[in-house]
Amino acid sequence: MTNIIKKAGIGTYINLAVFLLSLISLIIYAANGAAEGYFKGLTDSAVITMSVFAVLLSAATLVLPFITMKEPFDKAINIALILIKIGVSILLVSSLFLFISSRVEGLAYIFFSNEDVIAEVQTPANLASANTAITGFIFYGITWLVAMITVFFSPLKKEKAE
Amino acid sequence: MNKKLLGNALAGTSSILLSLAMIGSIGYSIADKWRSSVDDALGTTSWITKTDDPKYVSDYKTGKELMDAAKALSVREGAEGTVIMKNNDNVFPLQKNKKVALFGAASYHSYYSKAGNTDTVDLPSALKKAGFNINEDLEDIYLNHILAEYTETSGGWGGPKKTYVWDPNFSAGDYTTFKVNELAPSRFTEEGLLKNPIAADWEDKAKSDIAIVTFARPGGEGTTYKPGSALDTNGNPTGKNPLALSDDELAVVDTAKRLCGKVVVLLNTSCTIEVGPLVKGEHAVDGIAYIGIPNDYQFTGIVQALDGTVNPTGALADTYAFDSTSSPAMMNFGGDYYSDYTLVNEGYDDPRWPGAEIGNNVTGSFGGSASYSGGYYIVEAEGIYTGYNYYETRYYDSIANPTYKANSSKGVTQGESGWKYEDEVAYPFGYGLSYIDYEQKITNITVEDKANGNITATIAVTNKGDKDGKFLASLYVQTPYTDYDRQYKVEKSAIQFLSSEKVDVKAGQTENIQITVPTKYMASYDYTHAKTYIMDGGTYYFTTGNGSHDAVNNVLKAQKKLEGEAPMVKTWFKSGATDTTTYAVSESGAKITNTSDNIDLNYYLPGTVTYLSRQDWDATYPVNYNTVNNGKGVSLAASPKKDEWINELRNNQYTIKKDGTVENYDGKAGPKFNAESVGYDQQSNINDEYWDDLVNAIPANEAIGAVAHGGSQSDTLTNIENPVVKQNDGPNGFNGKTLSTNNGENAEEDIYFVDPESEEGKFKACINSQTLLGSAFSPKLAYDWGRLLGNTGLWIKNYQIWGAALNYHRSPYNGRNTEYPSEDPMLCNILGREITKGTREMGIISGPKHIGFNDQEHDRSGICVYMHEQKMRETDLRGFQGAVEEGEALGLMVAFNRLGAINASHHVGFLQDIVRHEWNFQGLISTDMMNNKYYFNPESAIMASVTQMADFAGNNSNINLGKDKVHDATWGYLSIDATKNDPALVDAAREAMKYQLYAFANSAVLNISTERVVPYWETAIKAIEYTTLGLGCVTLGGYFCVAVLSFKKKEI
Repeated sequence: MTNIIKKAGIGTYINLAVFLLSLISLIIYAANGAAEGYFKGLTDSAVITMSVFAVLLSAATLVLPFITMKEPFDKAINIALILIKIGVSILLVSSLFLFISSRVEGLAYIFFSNEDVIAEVQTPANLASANTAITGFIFYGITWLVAMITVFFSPLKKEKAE
Repeated sequence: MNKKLLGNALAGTSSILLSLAMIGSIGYSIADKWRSSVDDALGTTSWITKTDDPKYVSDYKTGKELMDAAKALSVREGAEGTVIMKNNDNVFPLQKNKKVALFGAASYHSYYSKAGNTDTVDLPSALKKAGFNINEDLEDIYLNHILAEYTETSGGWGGPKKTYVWDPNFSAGDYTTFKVNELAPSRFTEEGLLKNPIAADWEDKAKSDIAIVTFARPGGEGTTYKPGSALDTNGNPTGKNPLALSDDELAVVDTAKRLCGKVVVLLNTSCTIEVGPLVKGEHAVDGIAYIGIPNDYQFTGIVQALDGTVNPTGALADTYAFDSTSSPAMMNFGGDYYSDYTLVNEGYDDPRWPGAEIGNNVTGSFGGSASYSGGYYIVEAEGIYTGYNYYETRYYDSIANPTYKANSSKGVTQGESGWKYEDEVAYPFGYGLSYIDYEQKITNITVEDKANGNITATIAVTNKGDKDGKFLASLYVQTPYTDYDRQYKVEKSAIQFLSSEKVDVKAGQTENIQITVPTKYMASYDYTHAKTYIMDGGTYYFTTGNGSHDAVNNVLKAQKKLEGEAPMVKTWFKSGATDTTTYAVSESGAKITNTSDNIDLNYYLPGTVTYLSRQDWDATYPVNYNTVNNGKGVSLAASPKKDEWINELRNNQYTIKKDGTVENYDGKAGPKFNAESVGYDQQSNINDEYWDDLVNAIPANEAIGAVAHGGSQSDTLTNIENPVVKQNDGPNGFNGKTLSTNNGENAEEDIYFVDPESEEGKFKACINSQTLLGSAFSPKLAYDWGRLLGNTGLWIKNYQIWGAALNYHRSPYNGRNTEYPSEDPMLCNILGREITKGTREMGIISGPKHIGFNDQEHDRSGICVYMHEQKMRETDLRGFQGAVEEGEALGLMVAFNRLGAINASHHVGFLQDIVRHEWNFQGLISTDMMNNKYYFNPESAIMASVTQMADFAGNNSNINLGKDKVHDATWGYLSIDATKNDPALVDAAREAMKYQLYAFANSAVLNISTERVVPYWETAIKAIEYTTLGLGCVTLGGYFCVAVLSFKKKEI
């Protein structure tokens, strides 16, 4: 473990952040579709699938850099790592926009309905549901940005043996 | 630059660019979904309206082309709808080199649903034209001796009318006696009987190779058969059912058997005749064929099926029971009075009609005395077990589930012992013989287990004969009947018809066809517990077969409960327990739950009705709820909800409010209803603000009046410049309209001008036969009929028709079965869907009718029909659901009767919650004939979302405008003063106008086409998407180059 920490560069820590943030984003999304409130039952299997893949792939980005192999496999792993990180960012942005598109009408209904119905619409459960959705947007957005940033950074402090 | 840093920079940039490309792609799909809003916000447009380019244009260049197509379709309908039921020793196909004798008056005077064209083809002429050698001596006996006796009356509906002494009785009557008017051959030479006597040696002349005997049972609007009501030719009661063959009819069969080598019987009816004597015993014949109720040209096709010109592909749309009263539905049929029905009217001064004496008696099918018309009721205690759903389920349980007591003596009509399928059913639903041996086998089944999913079956149809031919393939399913169902009283038929298709197959070849049907139709409605649609976990058995009985036997074999192989069965397994969520949401996203608890008699009188359940056939077999309480029937006074019940029976579902304020009663001028204002957004979105602006321009009194007097035609309304749209009837086409009807004044400018003096100019295209369409089992034929109907509308410039009558046959005793396809709601469903699609594609608003259990005509104008909600949703309503949800109908006509105690046209749970909300129906809804102002009232109909009441009023949108102005004599209480303080009513009336106008906007009434154009924002999004995608790929490629270069360098 000590060895890993010694070898880990800033890229690894950003990868770890992507992993944790994507996991949190997924949990928020799932909770938003499961909890009582306006968005209960609105869980899109495509978002779940893409988010789960983003979590798994970002986990892979934590492991792959520390696998030492002979050339040419070691270089191939580095290329795969880059492709995975690009893939994670695309999965996350796709999840984010699908999430937003499925919630935007409901949010408009909850926050911008006519006065005569707004009291009926803004129940505690609906407001909690709306706030969870917005929190989810923020987490997905941040995760996506961090996921793009991580592509610029190497995971290790220095090149592995070449 | 360090290669590693360069590589990372390129990869990172690629990540950003590809993410942006993905944002562009998803962003575009979002913007596309909200296109009209984006256009509104940016001031752009995505659609332009082309007023000079009509969207709906006829498929035919001339009226003659349309006429020829109509005639050809009729012939095809006859050919595809004819059902060969019995074919001993290959008596069918009939051989043309044999001499054929036609027996029975109906062979010469058949019962038709006639369009009334002058070149109508009857059975004798169709046979002769096909080359048959008809026994002309016998023809002479019938035509010039027996059927020569008539009286002629002038006037009345349809002009002069001949009443024949020995014609088949062509009126079933209104739940009264029925005279079976067949002259027995033994009386042919009876002295003094006929003015033109028949020679004594007639039998010698009648001898032929083959006898065709035709028996008819009529039907029609306002008619209902009464069990046990048959009269003989002298008018004496026989004690038989009117649908049983009379002794005189059987005497005709016996004579034919004696004089001819072979005898076949044709059944000319929509009400299943009791054919038992023809099947076995002394009167048994060689062949039986069902020919339905032909229209003008169907006999040509019928003969094509009889003589083998085409391979018969028709199948029975109804179960033929040995006793026509043997289904549990017949335990409660006809109806009778509540024991204290006068509680509704006696001593009550209705504030809507102060001082008026209003009764609560039965008013008759076409109206009558002043009455709330709420005295009669029936309880449809059979639940979902009508038609084959009863016979086949009981059969299945008699073998597979002995504890369900299917062999009980309850419901037995044949013999003294327990119930046996083979004793009760002569020919099952879906049954029909083919001349060419063939096999149908499911090769693949896929089920999308979701609310808007589909079942897709691939069926291999193999022609095992030596001739090419057309064949029928049918798909059935058995869904699991589980502990959950038993606990919560969810009923399941042991076999369900899903859909069918026909296919041409060359001799010895196999063709694969696909049958697709929405998965939701396998779900069952649980009205007691989940209060929504459920789908049980377990094994689903899909099968083909020659009818429902064959199908259920296949399932029994697959389950090893009968001996034999069942290679045509495929299974699908749904894991888990009962699924109460997937089908609890409609395709439109609406939550589905109980809407109509009050249509159950148990709602008013808890514990009164025991509904038939397959888990105990003996204990739950229905009793007659009109004879409970020592024959008096149920009592209104006995209900803990007596006041509510009586109020409903007074047809007072909505009381006009007096304490609100309508801010825009007079209407505020806004946009007009014309091609300049209506474009793609308005056609595709009823929530577009244009519609609110449009209907808010209509004075509220006119909106209310336009609904109240909405029959015959729509009304011109102030401020919006809407056109008048005429309404037409009926299920067989535009009744009475020739192709030259509504010719434009100038032939040069009228592309649909037809010379009124030409053959096509005099041609009436109302040539459909609903009965033969039903027995054809062909969605394709139904679609083609719909399309032809639509074309006719364009040519005669009538754009709205009450067509596609889709009520299911609850029993054989409804005379109006003549207009409806089948006992099976699912067959009605798929045919209705296709008819509606066809007409809609031509821009014609075809409104299926009469949704909501118009399943008997006796006291149709008020009878209370009680049932549970599973029956409501899975029987009559299911018959219409396909036309609305899949066919996207723009019109509907509501049943005459009540649902529970409430006029079906006033029932909010039925019309608002199910039809409008769940089914997302956005078209116009009409009542049936408004023949009783005390039964129909506009405020209740408007609040239930009815858009027009069928009062035959012409251009009349008036309500009572007060002294010295227009006085509305029908609903005098409905005035400006009375309605100006009810914003909910005004809003609903304008909403009704919105639905009406929205339907017109999507039809040939407006007949505009729209063209898609690309706004700048769409170009911009696409440009961003493709540019970033391209650059992302380039930078990614750059990264690869750097990575690979570095890789190769190190290799060196």
